[in-house]
Amino acid sequence: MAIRKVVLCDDDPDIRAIGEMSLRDVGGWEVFCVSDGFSALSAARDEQPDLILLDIMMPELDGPGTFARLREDPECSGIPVVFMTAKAQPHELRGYTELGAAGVIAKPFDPITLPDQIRALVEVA
Amino acid sequence: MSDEARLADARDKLAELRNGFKARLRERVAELEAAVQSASAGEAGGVQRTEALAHKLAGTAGSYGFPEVGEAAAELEALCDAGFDADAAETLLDRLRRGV
Repeated sequence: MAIRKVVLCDDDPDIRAIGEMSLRDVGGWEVFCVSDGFSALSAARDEQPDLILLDIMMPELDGPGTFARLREDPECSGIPVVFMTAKAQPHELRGYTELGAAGVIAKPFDPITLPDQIRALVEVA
Repeated sequence: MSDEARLADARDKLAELRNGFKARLRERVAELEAAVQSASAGEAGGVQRTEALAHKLAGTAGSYGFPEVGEAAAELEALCDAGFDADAAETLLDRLRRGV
C-alpha cells in the first residue's frame, strides 16, 4: 500500500511542525495536522487518510483511547495507525502492536529518515 | 523536483525550524526550571508538572537536533517516575542547560 495522505496527531506544536515538514517535504505526502484525539477522529472520517500517526500521551483522549475509537468506527477501522512515543519501553511497544497498531516510532525521530521508517512499517511490497 | 533537490529543500526548511525551536527552547527550559523548583519545595503537583514538561522536551529536543537536552529531559522524566530527588534533578537541569 502506497502512502499519499497522512493525519498527524500530537499535542506538542513543535512536534507537529517538524513532523509536518518531514512527512510533506521529505515524504512527499499530503499531511493533516491535529492537536488532540477527538480532532484525529474527525480528520480520519473526513480525510480517509492512508495512515494516522498518533502520539500516545495526550490530555483528555490519549493515543490508545483514540486508537480504540478508530477501531470501533466502520469508516476508519481499516486505516493503519502508527504510534509515536518518547517513552518507549519494549514491553509497552509490544503491547501497542498487539492491539493492532502497524508499529511504534520512538521520539525523538530524525525528520530526514522518518518517512522511510514509516514506509518500512506500513507499506507492503 | 528530483529526490536530491527535495531533500536539499527539506534540509533548508529543517534549519529554519531548528532556529525557531532554539529561540523557544530557553522558554521551555525556564518552565521546566520553575517546575523543578516547585517539586523540590514539595508543592502539590510539582513532580507531575516536571514529569510532563520533561516528557515533552525529551521527545521534541532530539528531533530538532538537541540530543543532550532530550537525553537529560528523558532522565529527568524517569527520575520523577522512580522517585523525585532535588539534587539529582538539579544535576540533570545543569546538563540540560549546557545542551541549549
